[in-house]
Amino acid sequence: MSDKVENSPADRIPESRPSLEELLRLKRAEQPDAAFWAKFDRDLERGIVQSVVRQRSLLERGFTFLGRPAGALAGLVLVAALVGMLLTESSSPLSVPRAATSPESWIPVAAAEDTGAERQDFVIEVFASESARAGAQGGGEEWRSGDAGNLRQAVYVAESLGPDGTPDRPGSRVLF
Amino acid sequence: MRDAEAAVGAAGAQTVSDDPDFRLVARVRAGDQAAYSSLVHKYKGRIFSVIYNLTSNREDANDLAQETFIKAFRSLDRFRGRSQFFTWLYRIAVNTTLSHLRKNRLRHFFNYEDLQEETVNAEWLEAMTSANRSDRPVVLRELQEKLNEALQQLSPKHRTVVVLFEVEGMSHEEIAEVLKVSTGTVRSRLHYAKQQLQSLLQSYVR
Repeated sequence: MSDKVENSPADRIPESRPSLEELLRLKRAEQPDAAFWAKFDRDLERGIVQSVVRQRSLLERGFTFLGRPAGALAGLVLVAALVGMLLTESSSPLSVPRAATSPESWIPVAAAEDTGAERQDFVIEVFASESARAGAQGGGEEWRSGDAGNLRQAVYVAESLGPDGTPDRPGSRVLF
Repeated sequence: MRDAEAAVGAAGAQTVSDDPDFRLVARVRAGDQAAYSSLVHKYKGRIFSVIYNLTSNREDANDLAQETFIKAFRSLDRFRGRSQFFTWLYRIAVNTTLSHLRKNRLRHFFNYEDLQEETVNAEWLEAMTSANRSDRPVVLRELQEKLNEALQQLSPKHRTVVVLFEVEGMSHEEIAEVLKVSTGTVRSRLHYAKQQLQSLLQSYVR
């Protein structure tokens, strides 16, 4: 019993105790033995081989699928859909930066593309549909950001800006 | 590694072909899997150590170290060489471990690696043990347990910084790069973590 008390680091006089940094360095001495590393190497080698095989088999399955008539058809449909999406995007009336479609709109158009010091001449507000036109005229209260992705049904409201960046005058908005 | 603090600054001047790790990475990319074994051999001890010191669990550390090396192997094509290879590898190890700790927050089962007592040569240890050194294993074991318990009481992000700085010997800049935080954040976390540890271990440290 007395032996235990005498051996306890907590009972030593403070001067003989290690500093926190010295104690933390003790952790460098916590190391697994050689048998652990031998097993570690074997397991890792197996794990890497399995991961490579799994990766290859996924790729092979993909190619095999595309080699079949149904797979080839699915591939063609996917390519056609992608091309269609690209064409649709390029033919949209106006490419609106994502930042400009946020509910905190009235972002000067040029500011969304260029953070330089150029003066803004107008702002564009995007509304979801024709039904929002009334909202646009009333100050945009009927903003529905969830529909704003469908630009074909959107209503654009342009408003000229004065020298201080605020709307120029009442009635200066143009809807299109 | 902290002695290499200046070397980190000089890393920009070092070309990719000068770095042995980059040369090994290039060989792995060219299909030489033996080159990856060289990288594993070089870093497995440090990677296991950092994971083990974060989890205090040998089995978890083994699984997570394996996962780290497999992830690194599969992602090697995405390694652009903007940082040192070991920094990139440490980042994978730390992120994998922190993610594991988040998922297993309630796990309280710890087991510790054996202390390689013969490697502990410190003046303070001589002062704490008797002349015939028969009590040395007892003293070391108690200190090890108390230290690991205290470390596990820190939050994972504070524990990570302490382990990387004090145990792994990494510089503030290297840790900031691994954790993708500022050096100020690293310093502040380290300061707080050490204050906590000092308080938790007040009976054992001066």
